[in-house]
Amino acid sequence: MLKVSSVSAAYGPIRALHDVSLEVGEGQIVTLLGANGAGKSSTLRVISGVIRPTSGSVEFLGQRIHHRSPEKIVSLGISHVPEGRELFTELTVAENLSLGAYTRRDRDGIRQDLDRAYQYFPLLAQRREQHAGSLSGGEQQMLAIARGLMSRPRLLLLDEPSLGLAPLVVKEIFKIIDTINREEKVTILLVEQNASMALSIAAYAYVLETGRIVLADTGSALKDNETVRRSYLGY
Amino acid sequence: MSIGLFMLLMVGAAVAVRFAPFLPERLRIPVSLAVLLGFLIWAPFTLDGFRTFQMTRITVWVIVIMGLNILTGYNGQISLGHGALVAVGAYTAAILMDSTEQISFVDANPWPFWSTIIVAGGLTAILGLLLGIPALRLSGPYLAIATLALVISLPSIIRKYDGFTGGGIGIRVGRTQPPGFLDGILNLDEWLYFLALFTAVLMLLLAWGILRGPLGRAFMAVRDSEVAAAAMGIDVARTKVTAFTISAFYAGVAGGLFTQVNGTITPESISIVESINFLVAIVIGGLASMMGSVIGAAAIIFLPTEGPELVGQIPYLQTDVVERAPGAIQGFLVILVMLLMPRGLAGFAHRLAALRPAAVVEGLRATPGRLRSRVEDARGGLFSLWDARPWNRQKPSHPDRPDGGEGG
Amino acid sequence: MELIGSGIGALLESPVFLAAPPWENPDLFGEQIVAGLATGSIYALMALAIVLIYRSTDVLNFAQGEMAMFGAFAMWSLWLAGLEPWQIIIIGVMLAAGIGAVIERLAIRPTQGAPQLNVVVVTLGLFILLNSVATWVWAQGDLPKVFPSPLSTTASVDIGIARITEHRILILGVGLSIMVALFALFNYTKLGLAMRATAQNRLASQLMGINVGRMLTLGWALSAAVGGLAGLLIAPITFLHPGFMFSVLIFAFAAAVLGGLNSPPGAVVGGFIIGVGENLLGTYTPQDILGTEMKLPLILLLLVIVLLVRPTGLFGQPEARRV
Repeated sequence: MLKVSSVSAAYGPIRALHDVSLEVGEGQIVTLLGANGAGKSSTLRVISGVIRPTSGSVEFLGQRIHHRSPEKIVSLGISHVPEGRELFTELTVAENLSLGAYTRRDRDGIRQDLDRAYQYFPLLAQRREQHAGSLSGGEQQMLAIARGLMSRPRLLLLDEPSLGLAPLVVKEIFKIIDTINREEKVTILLVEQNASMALSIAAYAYVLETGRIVLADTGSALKDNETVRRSYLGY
Repeated sequence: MSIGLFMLLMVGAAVAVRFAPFLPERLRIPVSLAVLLGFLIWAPFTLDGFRTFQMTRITVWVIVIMGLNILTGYNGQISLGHGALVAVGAYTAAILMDSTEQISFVDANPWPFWSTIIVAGGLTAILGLLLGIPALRLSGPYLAIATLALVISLPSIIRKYDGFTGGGIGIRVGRTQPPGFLDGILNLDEWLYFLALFTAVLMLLLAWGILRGPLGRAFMAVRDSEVAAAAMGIDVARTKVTAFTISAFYAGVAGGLFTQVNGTITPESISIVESINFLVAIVIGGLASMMGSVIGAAAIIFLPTEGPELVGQIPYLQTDVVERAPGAIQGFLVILVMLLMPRGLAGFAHRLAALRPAAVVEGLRATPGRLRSRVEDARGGLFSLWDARPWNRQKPSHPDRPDGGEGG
Repeated sequence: MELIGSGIGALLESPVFLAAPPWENPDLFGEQIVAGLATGSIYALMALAIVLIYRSTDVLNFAQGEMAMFGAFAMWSLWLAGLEPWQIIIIGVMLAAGIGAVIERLAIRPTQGAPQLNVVVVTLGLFILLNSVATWVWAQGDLPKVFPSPLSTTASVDIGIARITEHRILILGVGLSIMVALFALFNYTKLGLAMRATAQNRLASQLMGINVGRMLTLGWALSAAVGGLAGLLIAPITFLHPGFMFSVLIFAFAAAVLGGLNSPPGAVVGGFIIGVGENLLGTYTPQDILGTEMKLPLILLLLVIVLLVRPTGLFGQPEARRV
């Protein structure tokens, strides 16, 4: 479904990605692991069109998308839930969600999806008229995911959904991610530092180090891999 | 000689010395500054009276702009109101020099000119101190507008309280004559020019002294991050107020000089436009650079006066644009400089100076490749537009593209 | 020193007032208030234009007044050419919006990422440029030029509490409807929501599929149109000359800052406060030491005092600046 082929990218003179290639198959959860600054977020930004690759290509559903604008890519069916959530903190929960559906024109479909989002995240339904900035960290992450789903994406890019959240909340978030993948048939590319959680739900995983892919295997295989265990799982 | 040509010659000579291969590295900067100063001393003898007077005006504005650069460039506080501080200095000097009882509340013994400049600087510095304290509460744009309010209000205040200020007519004191021992050596214009130049050099040395010392470092630390500065043990409030005071001192001294040079001061002498131009000058010249202040001051005097003349020489251009809308060219050039040289003229000069021939060649060699990738980018953009045709949505990938490697 | 003494003495003995205090002449007071509200709505519109741009692009647009002046002169040319009022208004507003959009694209967008002061200087450069071009194109012959109003600027009507000129009623009416329209645009339309989102978080807006560049251009166009309408409304009173928007811009800045630079409702409230305050301070302060000539300094002094108490204006939110 998504095919990233030997992509390199740079911020000014600093090269962030070297020759990164990865693939995500329809319906899968694929995770991208790595330390801080390894290039995980940059990879997602290249896919969603926020930064342009200096070389290489990104293909989604058979179309080359790496030259397209982010708004075009959203309407093609990729939704990016960025690191640090990036909510519209001064807008209400409802407004944040309706912005998620910005590229869509089907009013009825949007209303249905809104109802479904509130079903998935009942807490958000209670807070619909509150400013997003007044929510707790976990609620904000839920809102970010819900907002990302409002464009009815076929591929959801999730950047560190567990960042700064309590372990119990993290568990809940991952449960929801798993549900979304199974019930809504949304393909997910998940970037995480919390490797054990990510590997437990991912079908396939890549490990990034200083902008290069150094390992790639199925989730369960990587869980038993020596290097991964020592560097990312910590046992 | 026209001023533009003279400036070109002066800067050219100074730059040539700066990079002269026959001088040892550590001597180059001092010698090139000496060359610059030599040219400036030569200026009144080669330029005519009007141009000398123009150079004097530039020199006075250089002092204000150095002061503003200390506040805005080095300490990060924006002021659009320095014109008001200059006016306060100018009026102080004028009131002290008044010998004809235009102002009734001081006696008619005029003070010597040099003392009025010092008092003007001192009094304005105190005003700066008083303004600096409330300025602590205001940030960025709010401070800019509050200081703009100051300079806009001043003319009405001066006119209203004419008992102190001579109202709309202003105060006339006459231009300061050269002292006896210079009789026959310098005429009035030359004398005023050297008075201004001497003061400006003195103030430049003072600025360098302050900015290279611990106070200068404190200014910049506060500008870059107040929190970090406080964590290093810097008293942020005191530092900011000090910057305001020093900056006001510069404006006051320049105001005092202004009175000596013009011989008269009215509410319109220092307009809002001039006040705004001070800020434009430091940004055009280059923030946090004393040389930038000098360049900026020259630029704001030249853009409206000499700029149109230069532009008028471009063939095929309608000359009446140049004559009737000099501001159009000034505004256009200001915008252009900002778009092309975000760090101002001084920053641009630094970058030029730092260029190594090898790097230039390398850059030129890389240009075709970069252009090609630009074109490819643009073509990619066009293709993606093409691909976006609704009936084309599900088109399979380009068959001509070689397959990328598998992940891992 | 005697002069200071005698000045204070005179003040204490017999302050001279232009008008009787409100409780003795309530009609005059009412008129002052209503007239202040009319000018206030102009300031409010200009302040709104300033706030719209400040919120979305973080730029204090010092060229706002000159953009409006430019538009007003252009409309004056259309009037001389014999166009109908409604044609003039439509073309004029579109022209103003076009100027705003072009400025954003050519002069503001390329400064993205540069220090804030650079952008301020770019708008100051625009100020000089527009003013000079308008002087060149239009300010020939007698100045100021008379600008027409569909209603009379001298005949007044009684609206119960006060008498007010017909044109001022027009100003109040049009001004209030524009404010209501803007409120509706921002709160009840998808476009308005997208513009608010862009002002808050550009990265997130991009990821939502909003074309951020288009929103910024639109914001400038909208703001220029609103400012242009304000210029159009006040021109019949002040007449046209290249500097006719200077003082309006200053009061509008005061209004925007008073209300808080990132708060549109604040801009409206600030505009009305400044408009009414200007009139009252000019009329009801002692003429020999304050009075009409001092109303501008007094308003600005009050503004600074308010700022000292509330550094981000009455309704402004303190901004979390990226350090």
